[in-house]
Amino acid sequence: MSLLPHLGHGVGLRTIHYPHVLDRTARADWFEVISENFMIAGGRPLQILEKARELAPVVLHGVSLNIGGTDPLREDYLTELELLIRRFAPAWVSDHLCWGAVGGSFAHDLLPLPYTEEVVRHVAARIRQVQDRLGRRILMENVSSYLTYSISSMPEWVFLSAIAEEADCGILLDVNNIYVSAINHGFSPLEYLSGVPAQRVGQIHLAGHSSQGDLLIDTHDHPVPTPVWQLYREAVRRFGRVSTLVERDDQIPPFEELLAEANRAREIEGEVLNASSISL
Amino acid sequence: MPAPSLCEVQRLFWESVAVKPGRESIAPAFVRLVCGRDDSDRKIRIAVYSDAYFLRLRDVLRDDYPRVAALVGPEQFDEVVKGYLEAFPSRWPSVRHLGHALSEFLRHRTDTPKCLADLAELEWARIEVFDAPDAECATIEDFISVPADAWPALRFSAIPALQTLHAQYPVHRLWSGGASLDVSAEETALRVWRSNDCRVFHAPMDERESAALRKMISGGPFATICETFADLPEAGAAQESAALLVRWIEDGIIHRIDQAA
Repeated sequence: MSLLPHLGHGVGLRTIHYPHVLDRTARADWFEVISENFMIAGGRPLQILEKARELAPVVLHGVSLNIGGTDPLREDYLTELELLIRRFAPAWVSDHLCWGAVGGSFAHDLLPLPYTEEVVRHVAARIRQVQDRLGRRILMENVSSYLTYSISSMPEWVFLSAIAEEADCGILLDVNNIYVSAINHGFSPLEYLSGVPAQRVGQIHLAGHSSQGDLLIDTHDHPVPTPVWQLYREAVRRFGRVSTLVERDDQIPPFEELLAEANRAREIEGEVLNASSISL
Repeated sequence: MPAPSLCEVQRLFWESVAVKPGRESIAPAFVRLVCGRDDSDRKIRIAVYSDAYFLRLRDVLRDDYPRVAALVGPEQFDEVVKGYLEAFPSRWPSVRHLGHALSEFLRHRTDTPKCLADLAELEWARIEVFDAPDAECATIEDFISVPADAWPALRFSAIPALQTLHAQYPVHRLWSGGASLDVSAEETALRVWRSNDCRVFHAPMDERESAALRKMISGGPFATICETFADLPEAGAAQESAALLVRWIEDGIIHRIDQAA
């Protein structure tokens, strides 16, 4: 999204990194934090986030908006999100293009949606409702999936693009998720990239995954693997300079290792963009 | 046959992954909705979600209740979690609240030791004070700078990150001790709090401290707190009460000290 700042190459801030925030050695371009982890009344996490903000810009990334759900959007959740936005002034706010709750119960997972016109309209209307409430455009992230529905009538990238256009929201493109879903469902990740409207991509995620039988699982417990780096090169070719973030949620390595991956993303972006300018 | 609504798809999905956590309960109608080479492939794909649902939430509860999990062992803890998730599926967007009713759930089970519910109550209290609202703490100087003749009317307020609990078992020993659930019943009062540097503590209280803290929390003045030690000479009662208050101030559980207007 041209209206979003280019923050560079950041890392997902997790509890294990808090000591680095406290001693001010967490020197990333920017941090992304899980919004729900800070929807609390007080205590250490909020103090850490205050300190992280002094070091680098912060972005709020939610996991429980349930934008694709059929339950009404949770008013208490939106209020808490608003409070966080007011207190921490994130560069932007994002969540996932999925559903995660039904009948008032939460799965705490990113569950896949059927790709139909009906669902495009349903989700886009809810995104507009959230954007109106927050007074800002939000970014929606494509999720990894392990199943698709026989009732879907369009590929995932058409679904994602249609929602972004109809809701006038941004896209957080998770390159690892594209790769994982491409392997699991047998589509071309390059076709996915070429089907996404470049002007709406405001952020890129990079992460690792693991195998389970024939399926790849988005476990965020490994370094970014070679095929995902290769796909990232293609993403930079297609979308240009986009704020990029390396995520790790399990087997989290020392902060320096995560930072090294963010720096590798920076190098790849530089290589691709330099090559593009030379070829012009 | 018309395509199912989004609501119906999600209901079938939920039924297949979350209604019977950790046990296969895939709805046949949901299998028919999923793309795959055959039913086996479709079920494998659905099982990724049902396995993840149970394992993820099991891990959350294990992190929230490390001592309960350690004392019952992994197999029985899994069984506890299966029953708990079935009875108390998460009703909040933040997974932080998932374990709110584990103590209540354990209290009604007959296949786990009775002390486990008390231990769960302590572990949950520690979580609640961890992210309770922040508050300034009173200092020893605030206390001792008050003229002696104003002490009887002094009132104190506790920080929000303080909880008290009353257990039937010595749960503080279960929390810090070895791996045995073989403890005898023993009425135990504890205070649980978050210190100024964000660390969480708990401490057992004798009857006097428990009564005095109750009076302090309910807004009773210093003179009322002294009544806890009514069996002592007046000076001794004031001394004991003052010593308690100093300890509470040093622990960081007193928010304000107010003199009567």
